[in-house]
Amino acid sequence: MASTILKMTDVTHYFGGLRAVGDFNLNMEEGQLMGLIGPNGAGKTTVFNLITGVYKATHGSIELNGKELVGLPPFSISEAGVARTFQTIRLYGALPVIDNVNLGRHLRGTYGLVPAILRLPSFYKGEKEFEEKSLELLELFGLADRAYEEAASLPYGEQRRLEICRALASDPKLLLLDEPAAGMNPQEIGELIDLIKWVHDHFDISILLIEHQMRVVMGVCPHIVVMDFGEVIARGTPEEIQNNPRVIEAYLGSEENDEEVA
Amino acid sequence: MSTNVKPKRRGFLGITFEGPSFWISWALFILVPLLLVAVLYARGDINSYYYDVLMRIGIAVVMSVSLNIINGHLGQFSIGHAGFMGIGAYVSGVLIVGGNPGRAGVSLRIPGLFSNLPVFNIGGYDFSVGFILAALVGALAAAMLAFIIGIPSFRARGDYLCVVTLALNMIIVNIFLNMDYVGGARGLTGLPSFSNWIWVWLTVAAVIIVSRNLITSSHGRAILAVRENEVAAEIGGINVLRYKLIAFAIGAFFAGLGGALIGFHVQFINPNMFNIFKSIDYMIMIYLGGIGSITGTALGAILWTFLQEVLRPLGVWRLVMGPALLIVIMIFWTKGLTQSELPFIIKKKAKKE
Repeated sequence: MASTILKMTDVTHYFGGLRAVGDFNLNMEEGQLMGLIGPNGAGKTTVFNLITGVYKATHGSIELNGKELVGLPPFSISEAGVARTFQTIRLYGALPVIDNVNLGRHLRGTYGLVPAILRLPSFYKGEKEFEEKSLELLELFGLADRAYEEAASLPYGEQRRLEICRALASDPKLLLLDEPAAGMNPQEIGELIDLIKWVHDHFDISILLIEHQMRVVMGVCPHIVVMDFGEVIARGTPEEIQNNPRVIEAYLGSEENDEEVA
Repeated sequence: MSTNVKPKRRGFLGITFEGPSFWISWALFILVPLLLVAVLYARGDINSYYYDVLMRIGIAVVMSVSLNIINGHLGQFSIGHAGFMGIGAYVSGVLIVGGNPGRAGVSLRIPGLFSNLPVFNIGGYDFSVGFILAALVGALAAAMLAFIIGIPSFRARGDYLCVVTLALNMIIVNIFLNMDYVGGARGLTGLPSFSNWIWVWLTVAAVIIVSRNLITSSHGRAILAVRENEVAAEIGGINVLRYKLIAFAIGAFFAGLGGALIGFHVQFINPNMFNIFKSIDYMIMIYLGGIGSITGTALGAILWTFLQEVLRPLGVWRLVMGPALLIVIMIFWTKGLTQSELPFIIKKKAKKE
């Protein structure tokens, strides 16, 4: 039995009087690939923002490998081993592709400020290491031949790939993907499914995935959690989820309700 | 491996300051202008008017390149750069000539802390140990102030820093105006002429080297990342507050040095030399030359200072012509002179390649 990597217990978050997430419980085992789905406004991205420290949970606890994350600043949470991508692409657009990846690795230690300004040997050694490791990673993602181009000049699909690449550069234990298929065409989605599966096998990490495209979630995730109104309404395998009446109700509305309205 | 080749840095006038000629190119960059102007002025080949203009240009470069670290690289909006200059000028001034604790007009001076330190004279140029120490203390005071102001300002997202630095600039000027100890509105007078081309050029070289080496390092990348996407930087494991404070404090440090240099050059300081209009001058310089580029901001400072002198015969109209010219430049070359596609420079380069 694998050990638990992410444990969220009774996590609740309020925006003013609005309860965005309520009593959210989640157990992710090491190496698991889990999908988080739900209708718009269900609180999925809020869950990501709570894990990464953008918001501080009103109450409840979030543990990564037994380490409490609630109350830590976002950069400490990244250091602890959480990396994420964003619903809307957030690259460092004007910087070269390779610098985006270098910045992903930044938190794993770098030479000091004084050696940088005085150009001491540790600067050259550190920069060489940055370049080698980042090129290696870019090579795996098929982006090495564009390493010195401006990140914003890449096509949409490659920008998505670069964002995942940058997240992986920090050597995370847990990768959070927020709607990676948003805005992609069917062919790109097919490539993305293969990419996520490949990343999961190759990097030996746990992945939590938010997605609206059922094709991606059903095709990639062996475990799925469904949210609605900030609460978990169902958990299970894709087949179980597809046949769960509460899930169907959340997505399509129940027949009884329709009759009442009519 | 791929066929992709790491592009060479554009450098300045084709000199990249990297590779095998690293030390030679940097040594030449520091020594040639230093010796050239110093020797020519000592021989009397440069008259004191041109020397004064050169000094002002050098100090303007220090100010604009240091402001560019904050506004160009970090992407924050500091509009009170002259305030930090004032801190550097007054702190270093008081450390040398002391203050007047009596009422205005009563000459009752307390000597400066560093007033009795040795002064060496080499080839007509003063090398004052007291001045070096005082300038460094003044610059550190400016950096400390930036650090203290930065902590609360940077905690809030958005353009909060803009309002805070504006207010800070006004507060600094008003404190000096109302402090009899530093001469109030009359200012601090009788500063020895310790500032000269050698110190100015060394500071110019220092600010350019520090800012360039910083920005081409991993720490500089982090500073640029804050500018490019603050949210991604924060969640991507970059300590945003730390890098904002580093960039802001380094910028303020060199502004403080600039203040010490101008004070001991014109030999008196008064509060209005550091008011908000001066700050705006420095902002104009960086936007004129091209914000985010070290070469650009240095060129902007040179051009703007030069222009002020060239337009001097126009009298009061100078104050109209300058901004009008700026508007024209901003319309045709929106990113500043060095960042925009200048027809005459680009065409030349294309032919060469």
